[in-house]
Amino acid sequence: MNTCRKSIIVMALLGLTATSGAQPTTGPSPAPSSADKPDAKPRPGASTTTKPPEKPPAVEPEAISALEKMGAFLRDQQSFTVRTTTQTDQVLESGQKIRLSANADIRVRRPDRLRADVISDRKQRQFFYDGKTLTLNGQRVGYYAIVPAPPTLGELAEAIEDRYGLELPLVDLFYWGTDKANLAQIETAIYVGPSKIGGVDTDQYAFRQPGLDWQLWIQRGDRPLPRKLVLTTTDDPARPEHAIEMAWDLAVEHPASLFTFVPPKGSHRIELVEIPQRSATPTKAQRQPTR
Amino acid sequence: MHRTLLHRPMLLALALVAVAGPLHDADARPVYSGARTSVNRNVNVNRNVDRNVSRNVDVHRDIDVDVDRGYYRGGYPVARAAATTAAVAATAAAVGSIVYSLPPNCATMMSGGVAYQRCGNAYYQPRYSGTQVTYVVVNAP
Repeated sequence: MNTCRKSIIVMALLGLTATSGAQPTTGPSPAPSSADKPDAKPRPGASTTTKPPEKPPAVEPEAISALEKMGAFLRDQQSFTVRTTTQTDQVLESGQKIRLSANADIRVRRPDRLRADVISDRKQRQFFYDGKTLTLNGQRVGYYAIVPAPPTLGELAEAIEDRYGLELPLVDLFYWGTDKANLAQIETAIYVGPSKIGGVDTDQYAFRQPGLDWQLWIQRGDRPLPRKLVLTTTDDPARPEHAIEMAWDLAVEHPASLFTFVPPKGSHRIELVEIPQRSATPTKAQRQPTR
Repeated sequence: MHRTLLHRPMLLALALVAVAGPLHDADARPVYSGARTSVNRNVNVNRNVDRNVSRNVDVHRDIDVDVDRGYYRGGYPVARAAATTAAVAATAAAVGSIVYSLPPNCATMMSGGVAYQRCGNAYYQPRYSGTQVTYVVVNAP
């Protein structure tokens, strides 16, 4: 963990020295060609040595700094709504990819309120979080589950993922701008160029990390919001993708009732299964099945 | 198939085995999978470390293809490609096994405050595995 922190600090410092303000450079920042690949590994301090100038650093400081600015801005938003449109690839056993769509409305009031409504091609789910419990509700299927939850949003995402294998929609939202953001994983980071997303001017960045290539479009100007995110899973031969577009409403007044779950008539409470924890001594369930 | 009397903790243990078992086997082959959905998570937690357990988690977490009962008709049943145990016929379901979908003509019933699905002579207890509803085959409550 210490080394992770250090490299984040190094990246941050590079970002500060290399850029003056949020404006990305206008010059082209070509992606490393395949011939450059051996050099495309993170080399702390590489940009400070007097290497040939035609090779951009694998991790462009401005890309990291843009990510950090976005994180800081997100962290400062106390009450907001984000509406997402998502496309996700699923891979069949044959290797064939199937792309499915979903929409999610995510309402947040920091530090301890969340409501998310997800409608996918196949199912509807609602999340209610009030600082004490998390409710997962399937309106159409008529089942809901309520589990105890940590007191802040910052802890919620990680806790329910570890315990229940449950991922909040657009979960990165709750990691960016915190010390849980995984910046140390980033191996290459480049500024791609300007792009318009949903009529909004953005800057496009591309990142690589183990098992994952991802691209991020960040709104220009004084509201550096993520507008689009594309993830390519690179450790799966089918390279499935997950793409999210986001529309934002900031400084929204959310009524308290929004975060309170009232069981619909005819619905039933069921269990939310805990995933087997990786403990030193395997539990009965983790041993070889006897069938 | 003979029925055995099982206490609840025992049943749960069996149920977990039923989830981990088949997926563990399937992990050796090119398997049904989904795109990663988070930049900041599920690298260290769910993919690389302890693959057998995590694969299982991954499947439940990332799959968005499961079908709410009675919601999705026609088309290719994508979810069944992932289901390691399908409820083909009520009589074939072994107690403790987990299915992603129910046979037709089931009715909700309550027993001891717990919801069950009764499908012919078979009983299923619905649960959430991540956001996916799965059904454990249980003895008559």
